[in-house]
Amino acid sequence: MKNFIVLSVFFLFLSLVIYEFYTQSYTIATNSNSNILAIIKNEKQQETKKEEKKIDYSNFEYVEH
Amino acid sequence: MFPGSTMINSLFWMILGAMQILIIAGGYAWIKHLGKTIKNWQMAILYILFALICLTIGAGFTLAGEYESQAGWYFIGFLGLPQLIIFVFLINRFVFSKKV
Amino acid sequence: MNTKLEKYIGILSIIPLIFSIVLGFLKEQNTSIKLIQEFIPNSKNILHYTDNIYKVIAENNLPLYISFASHVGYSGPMQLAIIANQEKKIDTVVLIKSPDTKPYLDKILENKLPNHFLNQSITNIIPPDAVSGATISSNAIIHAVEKASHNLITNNTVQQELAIPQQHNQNIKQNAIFSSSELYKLGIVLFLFLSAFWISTKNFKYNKLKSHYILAGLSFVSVGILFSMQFSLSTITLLLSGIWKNGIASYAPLFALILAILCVVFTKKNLYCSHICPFGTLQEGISLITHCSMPPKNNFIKWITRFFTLLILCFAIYYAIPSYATYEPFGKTFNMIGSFTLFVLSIAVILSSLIFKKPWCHLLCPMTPFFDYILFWRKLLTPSKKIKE
Repeated sequence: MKNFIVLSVFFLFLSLVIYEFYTQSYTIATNSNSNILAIIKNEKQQETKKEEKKIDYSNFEYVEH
Repeated sequence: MFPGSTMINSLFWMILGAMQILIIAGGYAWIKHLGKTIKNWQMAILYILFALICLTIGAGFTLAGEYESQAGWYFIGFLGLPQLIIFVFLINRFVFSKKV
Repeated sequence: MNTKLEKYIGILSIIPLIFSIVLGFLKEQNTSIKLIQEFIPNSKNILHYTDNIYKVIAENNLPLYISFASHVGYSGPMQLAIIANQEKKIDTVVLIKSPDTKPYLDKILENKLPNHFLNQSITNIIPPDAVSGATISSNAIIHAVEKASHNLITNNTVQQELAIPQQHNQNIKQNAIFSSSELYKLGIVLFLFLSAFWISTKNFKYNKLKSHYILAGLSFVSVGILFSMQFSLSTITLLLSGIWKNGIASYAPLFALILAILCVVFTKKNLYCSHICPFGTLQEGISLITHCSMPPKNNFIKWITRFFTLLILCFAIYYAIPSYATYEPFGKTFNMIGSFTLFVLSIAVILSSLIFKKPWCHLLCPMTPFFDYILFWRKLLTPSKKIKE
């Protein structure tokens, strides 16, 4: 009984450790394919001039009720 | 607890309250079965700790329900673990360190 | 298991270790030009000014100036590069390599620390505040960027091309080796080992058990909680892969590891695991509640742990990144450094301490097979002469 408990505790630890490596493996895989950790770039914001929309009132008619 | 119902909520909490009596009576019966004794104030402390542990687990899962699952697990881990250790320590102290 | 078979396995298991050390050193070093081609694709005419400074004509035919630099982080040097444009402003920050653990780097990137440098003038870098919880790694990036920009603006050719005046005398922080707090930590480690050795001697007059508890308590507070000087498999990786030569944030865990190895070699006693390890102390303290016994010995568990430790150690040494060997819950338990999985693992270990005495030490701790291995080679190389009565 005690051996069973010891083995189950051991496999619990081992599975958590293996899961930890599984979650780390993405970083390891990307690191081995690429030699760079991260690239932080300057996102150039295009300066757009706010165009003021001029409403043409020439065709408007004031309708009297 | 049960939205949209009239009676089930009240019935649920009545049953849960009645279960607490069963839990305490069961605790006494279990200790008697082991051939040990416990005083009423010691049982009261153990019950309060048990209720706190249940509350901690409930609060953790409430956080999980609010889409904060990691916060929920950390809550249960940080608060639940010391409570559990104190619970085991007190059981050892109140029940198993005494002779019948 | 057959003792002869154990002996042969022990001797043969040095081979993958040696292979990983040698292959790790021989591994193709990333030349700067290859790196530039990776972070500026379609770059034309890479001009080499110095070993750390390059000029590149980008796709839009505008020149870009690249400066490489590094500064000591938590587990070794943080290497990065900055790319400056014609307007003398930082266009891009590239983190190339860091042996620091992933949670630190993730935290720094989430807090957008490197983004603070974008669009700053290389002649006047305003450093941001370090990210709390990742101070050493943050400072490594900040100082490396300052170094990179300093190297760029003090280069004569770059000064002429960008019309930078020559008056800059910036105080660039160099890699400090030993500060006063570092010497204090080394002193504490030495004191703990000397005390452990004294307690373990036959001439120790006082109550050994009480003295052991006092020493363990002191170690728990100092090594574990206050200074986080506990060594792990990543410290062994640091030692064997030679990264420590380039500088690390704290030499105290490495010093503790070396003292522990020396104790095992000269006294055949594992003083660290028995008296000093703070995680072991925590488990022992919790097991005192239920007065439980050690888990029964199991050959299967012993060999699985040994194989696993060797595999992870070889892997981490080959890549020369100590954080690849981090699977112990020490950092998470004392300093909340690590992933959520390690948090669950530390909870599991603490709860199992109520059932068995020191479950992590006896089941999956990599230090146990490591010190067993050192003892094995000691016995092999210095066989004891048994006097037959």
